[in-house]
Amino acid sequence: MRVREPKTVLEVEDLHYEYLPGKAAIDSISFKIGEGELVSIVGPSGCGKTTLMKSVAGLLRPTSGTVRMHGVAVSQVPDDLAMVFQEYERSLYPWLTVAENVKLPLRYVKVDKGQRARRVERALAEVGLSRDHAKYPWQLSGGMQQRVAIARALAYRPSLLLMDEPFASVDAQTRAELEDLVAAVQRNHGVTIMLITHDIDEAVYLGDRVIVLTGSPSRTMREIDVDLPSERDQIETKASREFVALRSEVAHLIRRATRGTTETVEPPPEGAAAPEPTAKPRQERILP
Amino acid sequence: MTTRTQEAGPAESLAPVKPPTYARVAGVARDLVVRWGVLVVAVVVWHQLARSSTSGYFPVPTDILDTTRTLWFSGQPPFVTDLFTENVGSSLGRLLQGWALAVVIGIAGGVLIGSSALAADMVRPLLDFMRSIPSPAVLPVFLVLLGIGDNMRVSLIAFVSLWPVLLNTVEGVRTVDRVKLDTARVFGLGRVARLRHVVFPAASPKILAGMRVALSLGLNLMVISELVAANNGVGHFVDASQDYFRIVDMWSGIIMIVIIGILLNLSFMALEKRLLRWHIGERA
Repeated sequence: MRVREPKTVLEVEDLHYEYLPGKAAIDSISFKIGEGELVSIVGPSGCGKTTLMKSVAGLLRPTSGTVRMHGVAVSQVPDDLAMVFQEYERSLYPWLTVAENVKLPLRYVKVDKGQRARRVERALAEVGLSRDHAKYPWQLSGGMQQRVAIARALAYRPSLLLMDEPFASVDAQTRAELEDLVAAVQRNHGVTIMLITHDIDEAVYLGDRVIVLTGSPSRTMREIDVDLPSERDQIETKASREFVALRSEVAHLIRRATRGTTETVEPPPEGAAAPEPTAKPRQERILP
Repeated sequence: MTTRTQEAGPAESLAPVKPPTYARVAGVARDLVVRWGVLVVAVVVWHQLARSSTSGYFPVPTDILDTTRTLWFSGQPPFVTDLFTENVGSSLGRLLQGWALAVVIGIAGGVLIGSSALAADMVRPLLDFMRSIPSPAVLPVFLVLLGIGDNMRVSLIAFVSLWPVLLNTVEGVRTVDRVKLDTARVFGLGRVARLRHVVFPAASPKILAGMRVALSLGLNLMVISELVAANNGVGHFVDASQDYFRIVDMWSGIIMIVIIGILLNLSFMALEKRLLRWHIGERA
């Protein structure tokens, strides 16, 4: 569907993870993320999304299968990877100011001091916190704290940014703002992002592609290309026919996954991916 | 930009409304009574009891305070006497040396032990055992091992102060938030960097609490160790005054120990407050 196949940044191949011998959290997950892509990963709750994230980050060693970044197998934490956690108040360091939080990872990157300061400055400006350098994270609201975490990731200039349910703990208004912030950052800087979420709207709204996982032990169920224009709008896009169709497609898949059908679903035939909104439900009606 | 200001957190919360003057004065007065009332009453009662007593071992507090002033604080500027320099100086020296030793060993050991869940579980019973030994009970052991010199006293203070620092450091290091450590790892901070930038600051409230307990234990052991075969120190002064039946002097020595204890505690709390501003703010 894509005209130019982008360079692969992340490649997950037949990832399998057992938290106890014989007890699998992840059965088999495979996917690729190309440079500059934002790939959303959704699935029913408890489907091992965080385990997947930790395996990609090198924090957890998969039982079998491989994770490759730039073609090199990940055996420990890759040095050009950044992450935004769901628990912003736990992930930021309360003893450091906002600017110091953003700067800390840069102390261990080979850049000179002036450039380090400029990167901090620019990243905080990007997320709209130019005037809050000297504040402490706990003096900020939840949404602003998550902005700090996003700025920290941006300043690090990772070749892959992992976001683990980044907006799950903020209110709906803030959530929409932060989503648009991430979308803008991704457009402007071409950051490659792997976004884990349980929110179907968010997955479709932000994603270039959506990967749907089955329930635990999870497998890759389907990959869906999001053929929406790259400029997206919270109201207009979400009201568009294409968006509604995609959302219901993903929702149906997840409902099926939640009901325990774990067999991999074959992708629909070519051409059915951009369907009439009415076409989808009919197809799903086969289900019990 | 304009919408963002509405997101402002507690930092920009409203300044408290100033109450009228009389209310503030009443508030301050109430505060004073609550904080100091019982102490003042106790001293007055003490005074009355001592005055009506015929025993020479029970002097009135005003005499004690008077003697305290002449004995310890009547010198040339900065107003302390030679007696003060000699005894308070040597006492403080022992205490701070022993305590510093305990802090260094306790933090280093605590980080080492705390870095491994297994090691922490293994040594915890031993640490609890060591901490539970009534400290004066180990004095004879130290006397036998190290003789009657200052080494014995400093070591004893260090030994007793060590356990709270060590235990609290182990607990502090063990309970560092997983997410904070994962964040540091993902952002490429190595072992030493994580220790410096994450583990130490995160554990610091517990470490400092342990240091404070250690300081007051150390003060106790300072006095106890000076009761045995010392030739200076405030503890020795109290002991010697009692030997010569200088009862008021003895009491003034006790007052000095109290003053030292209070001042040390206050200075440490000030330091703690400064170092843990973020912690206090975070929990507010």
